[in-house]
Amino acid sequence: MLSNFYRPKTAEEALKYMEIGGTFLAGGTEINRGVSGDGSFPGIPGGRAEPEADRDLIYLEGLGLKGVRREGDSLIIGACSSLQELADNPGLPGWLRKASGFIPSRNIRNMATIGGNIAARRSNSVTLPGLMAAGGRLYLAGGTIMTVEDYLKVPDGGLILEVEIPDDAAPGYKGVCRTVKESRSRLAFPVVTAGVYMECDGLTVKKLRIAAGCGCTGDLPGRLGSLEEKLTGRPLAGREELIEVIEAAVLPSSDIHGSAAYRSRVNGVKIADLLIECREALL
Amino acid sequence: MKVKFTLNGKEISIEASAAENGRHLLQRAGIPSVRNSDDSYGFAGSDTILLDGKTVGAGLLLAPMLEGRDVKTVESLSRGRQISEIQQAMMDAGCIQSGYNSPAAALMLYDLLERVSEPLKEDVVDALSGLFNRATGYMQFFDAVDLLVKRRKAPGYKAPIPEYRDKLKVVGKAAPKADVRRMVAGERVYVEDRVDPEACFLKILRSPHAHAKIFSIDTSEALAMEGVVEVFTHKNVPDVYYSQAGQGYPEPSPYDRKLIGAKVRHVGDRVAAVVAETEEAAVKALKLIQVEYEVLPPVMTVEAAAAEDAPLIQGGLQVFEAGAPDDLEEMNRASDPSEGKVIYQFPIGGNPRKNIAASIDGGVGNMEKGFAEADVIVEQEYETSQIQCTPLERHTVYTRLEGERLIIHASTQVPYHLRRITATILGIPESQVRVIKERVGGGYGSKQDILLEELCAYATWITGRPVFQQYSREEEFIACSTRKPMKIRVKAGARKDGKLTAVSMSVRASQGPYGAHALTVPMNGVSKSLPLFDCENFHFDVTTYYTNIPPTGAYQGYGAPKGSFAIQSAMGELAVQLGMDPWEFIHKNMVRKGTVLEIMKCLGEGREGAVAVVGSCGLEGAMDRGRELIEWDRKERSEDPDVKIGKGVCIIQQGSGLPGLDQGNAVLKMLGDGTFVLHSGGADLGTGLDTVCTKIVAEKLNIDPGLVHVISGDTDIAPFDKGAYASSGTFFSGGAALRASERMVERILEEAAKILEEPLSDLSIESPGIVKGKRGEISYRKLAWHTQGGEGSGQIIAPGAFTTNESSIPYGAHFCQVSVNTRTGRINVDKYFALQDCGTPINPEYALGQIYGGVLKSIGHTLYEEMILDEKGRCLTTDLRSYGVPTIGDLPDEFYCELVDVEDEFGPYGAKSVSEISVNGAAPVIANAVYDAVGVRMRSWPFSPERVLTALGKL
Repeated sequence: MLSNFYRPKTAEEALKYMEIGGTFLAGGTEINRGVSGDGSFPGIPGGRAEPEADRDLIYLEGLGLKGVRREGDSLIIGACSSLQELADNPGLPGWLRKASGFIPSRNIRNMATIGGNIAARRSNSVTLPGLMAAGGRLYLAGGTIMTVEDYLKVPDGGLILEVEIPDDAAPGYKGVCRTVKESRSRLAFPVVTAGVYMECDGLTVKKLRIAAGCGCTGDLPGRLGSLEEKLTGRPLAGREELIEVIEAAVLPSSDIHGSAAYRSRVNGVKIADLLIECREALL
Repeated sequence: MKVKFTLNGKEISIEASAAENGRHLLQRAGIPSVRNSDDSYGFAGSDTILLDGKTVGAGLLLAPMLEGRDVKTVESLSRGRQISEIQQAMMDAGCIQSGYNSPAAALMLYDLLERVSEPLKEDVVDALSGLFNRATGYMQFFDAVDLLVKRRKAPGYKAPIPEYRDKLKVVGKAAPKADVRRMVAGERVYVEDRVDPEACFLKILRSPHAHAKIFSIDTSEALAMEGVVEVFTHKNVPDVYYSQAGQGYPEPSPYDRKLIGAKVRHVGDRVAAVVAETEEAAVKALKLIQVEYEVLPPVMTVEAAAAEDAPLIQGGLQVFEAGAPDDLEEMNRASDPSEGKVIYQFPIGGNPRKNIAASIDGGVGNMEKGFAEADVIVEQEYETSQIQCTPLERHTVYTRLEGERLIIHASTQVPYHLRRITATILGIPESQVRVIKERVGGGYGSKQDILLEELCAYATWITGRPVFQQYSREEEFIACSTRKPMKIRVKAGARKDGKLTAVSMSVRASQGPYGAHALTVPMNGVSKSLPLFDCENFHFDVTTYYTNIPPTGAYQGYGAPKGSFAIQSAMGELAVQLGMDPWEFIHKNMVRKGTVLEIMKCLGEGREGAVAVVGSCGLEGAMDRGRELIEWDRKERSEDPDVKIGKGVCIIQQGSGLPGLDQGNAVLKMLGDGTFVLHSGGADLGTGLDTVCTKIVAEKLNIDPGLVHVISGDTDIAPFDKGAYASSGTFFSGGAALRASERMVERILEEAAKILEEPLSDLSIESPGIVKGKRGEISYRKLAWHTQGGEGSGQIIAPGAFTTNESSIPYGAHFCQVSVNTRTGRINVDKYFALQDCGTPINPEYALGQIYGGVLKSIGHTLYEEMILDEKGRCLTTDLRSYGVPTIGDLPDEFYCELVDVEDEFGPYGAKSVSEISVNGAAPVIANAVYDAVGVRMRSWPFSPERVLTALGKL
């Protein structure tokens, strides 16, 4: 049951509540999902999990973590910006707008925040692969700045205040970033969420970051480091070869959305397409 | 804590706990329109509100998150009884059928039109992306937006809905259903809106095992808990066996269950039921019940059920009310009394000692000769999966006492069967039970079965307390009525010229633990697929096995979608083997008006059948029109070399009720001012049946439909009707309304003749509600005054009963074009054309909506939806998203349904059924199109990308 509902006005205040055991609440699409005020739980042993016992929630709405601003060659996004606001913002890079739109329901996009999407650490997160590929960084309460990848390495990564991404409209921006999602139906859980950042020198891939979710790198989305290494410093291989090396690099397991073999295959195909799309954009 | 916010323009302050769900709080605040379809999973959108001007799901909010916010619900769109322009446009476009989340749709479209004055198709898709609509297939939402945009420019613009029958005034013309204004305005029209504040809650402790005996159960701790009123287990429920199938008595389904049994036969089976004064107490009490199980091995497939040493699922005593076999005593010698009984009303080929719930075989002609004459024979097995009806309104019931009478507020398709079954279990006369069918927020077959009403009624009967029960979405999957998985082997032969010579069909169905519809669903798979073809030699056999999967029962289409998939796929395969164009092959072999259907004499659904003759038949028109629409002769090619495009065709049929088995009744009364009330036994489950009846009465009596009011679904007020299943509504219930209207006309003329002192032969009924003679005339108003006055002959009341032995069969042809991505396995439905004949479409816009809805639903069954069970029988897909229902983003790129105009000889004003048939085409037509695209045959649902890649040899 929920014990306390806090409404901090500052990040410091929010951190104090966290220290006494609270959980941050932004849009509510993750934390409140399945929590039923009228208690409609079927009572089946081993069935759906019930709400956590004695939980405090720290509602971040009052912190004003909204909006987007430019800072040098970066764009700084308030962590409580909704995914719909990001999808609608023409000043943001196309990959982020597209990834925000990967949440298939407008209702959910209106509620879900980018900070919440990161902090929820879902394997099939729509934003994390793109953010990792783009080299996104997080500004945390208390002054810490860390990459999205590092944030995921820490079990309780702290309160995200802002998200920094490179501004692809900045003069010094050299690469391209693209994201992809694949699911059986529009609202089904995805079997592919991936992001690629690529820089090329002529035909040669100079810099490459590939991140994928949906079990490709374990329970959390992550970078495909060995794959990046294999593909960097040479021209991009042909599509079939790319699929082969990607399939070998991803390690999804079987679940209700498909067998490991299928999931490897479809990730191979979609990520290969993404790499080719990036190269073609650079050419 | 107090939560203060602005609700529909007014500041309110309401006491709430921090954990209270936002939807729940709004309902407490007097807003019924914010509904729960998915237990706050944020999928269905029934809980949509505008929060600070943006659409969100209230079920994902906690009460304190509303503090200081601006909340608007659909109630904000109306001014008194005046609904908004978007709601009116939705009504006029025919968007609203079951209506459960129509308020949510209205809010989403309102929001869209605030943002975009002239939305494009993709804007509408985006606006409704968070809405799950199972009834109407979304297409008419586009029409509604278009209608509103045009009306803003040209007030009075009318929706371009096709109309039929120039000689008729209201039948065949578009008109909003009588209930839709209330639905779209968010009024209280569903069962959950009837619950009194003092009502208790019923919650079920469900089995974690697929197959087990209850070794011991201790409810003492739960009973002692504050707020708990009663706990029921197998020890304190009546020793009465029944079937949950809502079928006419005597049912062809075996009575093989009690309210709560001592043996559990599926994960989710009833173990105990708690009645408590609060929902929280009921849930808490469930955890205090101590149960010890003797776990038995589960039987999960038909092969496992048929195995020599298979565990018996119904190992109890067999009892026959009629037609007991000679060896019954011998069969019962090894029965286990602790497993209960299986009571047959008459033989249906069951043998629980072999896990067989039902079986039958039959045929016409000479199969050996037929196959010997064939130049080409194909033989293949097709498999269909277990799928769920997923009504937006979950199964819900509210029971209470009025004096010594039991009142059941139900969301049911079968009020009269519900009354009968409940009275039987409780051991009371039917006269002591009243069932009030409220508006039904989606049924699709699953509300034909009595899944929770009987237990809730018993709880009220014993405790004397009003009791409310509503399934969770998870319970919808594990303790409901689902579509039976089937394996269907088809052998079909044809001569070189394409003429079919013989077709055999062997069906094995997985029934689940209880025998609801065990015989009739698989039989229906045969009876709605073989008779599409003109062939002299047919044979079929059907065996339904008890298994430990979640229960199965009826689902829109009944057995037809599965039989259709197998037969139409096999015909596609045969055409390929013959080197013949599939359209030509079907066209050569399909039935036509006048074709004698010999096979029907073997397909009587639990009784002896009768040879039928094809009457009105739109197949020819449907085949021609579809060919034209899809440009059948044009081969499409994708620019992407990995994407292959193909086209498919199939033909479909259904029935219009069960001739010789079922009955509809209605009573028409003339009121004091010459207007009319029709008491219809029909159960309108959102399809517009009440409006069908209204139009039939108005047409016959030559009056405005606004002068006719239909009261239906209340067993105290309206006469008996079999209910809404087997595509019977328009044909049977509408037929009864017509019979009552015809009788009313006779009575009106008799009374008018007396008053006008003219012979009957000189009188006629004229518009608007006038009897005209050669010398004089009298209005219905005056007639009512005469008949109901002190010297009158009494109020004019006209009953009408409808029974028939005639089969009026709706037909159709579906065409589609698919693109198959050979690298990802994804199938995209580029084009889908459904051409269907429903006789005279009495409500054309709702007929079309039901076709769109049925087709999209069956595209979902074909491509996405899947109840996945683990080896222990646990369902792993118990929410709508995991399960995979389609939504607006999954519509075919081009989607068009058209009614092929034929007039039936037997239906009211030439009408036949429309809804169920629509789900029969998608699987075979997509399978045939996939074959055309990539040369692989999909023989198992769903055609997931993984299965496509496997079939292509790429996995």
